[in-house]
Amino acid sequence: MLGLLKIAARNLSRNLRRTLITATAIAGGLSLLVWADTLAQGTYKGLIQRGVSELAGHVVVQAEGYQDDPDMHLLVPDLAAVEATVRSVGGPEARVTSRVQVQGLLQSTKNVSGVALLGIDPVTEATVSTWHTKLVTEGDEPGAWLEPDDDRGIVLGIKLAEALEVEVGDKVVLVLQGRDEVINQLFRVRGLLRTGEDNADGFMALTTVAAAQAALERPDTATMVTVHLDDPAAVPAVREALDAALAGSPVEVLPWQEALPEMYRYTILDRQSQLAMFFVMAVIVAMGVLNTVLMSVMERVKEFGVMLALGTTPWQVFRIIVLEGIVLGFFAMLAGGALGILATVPTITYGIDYAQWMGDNIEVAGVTMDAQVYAAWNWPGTIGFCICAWLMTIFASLWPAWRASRLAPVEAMRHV
Amino acid sequence: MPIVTVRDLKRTYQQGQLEVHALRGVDLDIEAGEFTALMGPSGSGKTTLLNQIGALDTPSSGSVLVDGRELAGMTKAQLSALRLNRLGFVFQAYNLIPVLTAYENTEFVLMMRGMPQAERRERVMRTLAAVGLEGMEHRRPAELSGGQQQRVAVARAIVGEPALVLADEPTANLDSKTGNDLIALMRRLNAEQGITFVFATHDPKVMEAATRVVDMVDGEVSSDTRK
Repeated sequence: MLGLLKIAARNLSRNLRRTLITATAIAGGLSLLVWADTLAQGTYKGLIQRGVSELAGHVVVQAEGYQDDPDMHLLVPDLAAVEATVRSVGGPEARVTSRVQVQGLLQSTKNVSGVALLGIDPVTEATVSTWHTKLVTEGDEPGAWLEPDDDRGIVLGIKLAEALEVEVGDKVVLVLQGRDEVINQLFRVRGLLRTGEDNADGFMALTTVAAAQAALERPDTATMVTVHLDDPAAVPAVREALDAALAGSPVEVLPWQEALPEMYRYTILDRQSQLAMFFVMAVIVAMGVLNTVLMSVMERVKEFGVMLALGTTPWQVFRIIVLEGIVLGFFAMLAGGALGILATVPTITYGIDYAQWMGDNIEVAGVTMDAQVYAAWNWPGTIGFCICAWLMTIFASLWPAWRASRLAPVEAMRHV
Repeated sequence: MPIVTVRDLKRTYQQGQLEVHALRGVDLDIEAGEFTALMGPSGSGKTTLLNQIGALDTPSSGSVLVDGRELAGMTKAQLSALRLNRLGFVFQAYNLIPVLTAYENTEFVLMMRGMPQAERRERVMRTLAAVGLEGMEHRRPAELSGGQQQRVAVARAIVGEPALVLADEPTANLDSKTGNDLIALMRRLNAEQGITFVFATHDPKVMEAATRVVDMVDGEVSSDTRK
């Protein structure tokens, strides 16, 4: 076997140009796959991070039935007790916050508009989402982030403020349908948000949890208690522990995949279509490799004829060519993997700015992403692609090897 | 026992609609240690007969025995083993492997036999010296003259110390002096090492050196003369 390996390696090194061309095709395709995959992983990671932080949490506790029927009056009861349980189960690594969602109308002295009001804890919310970083700070009267005990303060989306023709310091009135009667609640505008997303800027407003509870006339309740984890792999364990701890309460505990099904389905579908595209790319490269290996065998028909005439068995000829594929594929895999990783480093560090093609913010599955997209390492994927590229080269050499092993020595030696 | 026994050997090729009878019933025995020349005009069946004896082609009918073993009953792997261990070949067009050096071309047969490297090296260097190619071990075929390439081919044929060397027009592409040198070399190997040689040739010089001349005409043996 070692002798055959030596012959195979020698065949490759003595036909250096052909070897380099084939290896370049494999390494080029592989590096492109690795780079595209890490970029896709980074995109998903950014999307999930954004969606999870602003719309839900890695694990969400909400009133039973809320997922199927998101009625704003369907609230988690005994909020303080539930939140305490969630904090104790989540442990020190978990960041926990509560949110109250209210739909109503917002009225100024000049105009009226629909509003999606979100009651938040200004302190804990700032540890899980980026709303506080979107506060408009320029202008004559820069706004301020909500204070925890500011039950009359409200922060408005900038387009909502424009529609209402209000500025920081102005008063607005929230009008909503309570359980029995129409409720009015007065707020003073503390600041304006510019998220870049039309829906958020045009209809969203933030206030404190207590203010939103008051608007709904439901103290000690929340639409959701969200748990944010540093390690998303811990989601199933945390969910299971919370399920057990909150058994008996009229609440449901959902992982982000169930709380944000649209976004989750998008990532799954997109990944599948991407893998299909990768497969097509791999097939194209494999056809190229097969063609090159076949050509290299056809060029050496006379050589193989001589080898067979001298007493090399067809099985040995077969193994020599497959070993050429194994050696070539191995080095092409190393080169392609290394190239892909090298190409990924700047994409992880500096990212790719899609702003010039898609604007400052990109809306995907109801989540607004930054136009600056960063790649993320996906070692199982990278290693998987490398191994696939190697196997593909080996498979591509099987048929040419079989053909060469079937050559008749006399006819092969006459081949020009 | 003869090293080669050929009985009523026929080989017919199909060329389009035409049947070409390359061998029409050849009977021949070759004894160990003979230096035999197969003479005859082009198309007389010399190369076809060599290919049959060398297990490189299969007959239409008849039988070939090498070392007393019937080739027709052997598997591909057994035929390969026979060629590798018992036969040596010198082809008209040298048929060296172009990417290998003179040393590596000569070494190839021993490598396929699985011989240890040190023994291989000693055998290859000794054989290359015997054919007058000392100092040219690292040259590839393209860097050697026709005569030198044919010497490499002879070295490759004899390095494994085969029982029988089959040489197809070994001097056809060589100038007169180089041809004479090569014939002398093979005669010496025949005398010193007892290797049996069978040549297919037109070359009168080979006929002069041969201990036996088998004349072939139209796929049949027309005369068989031992000197």
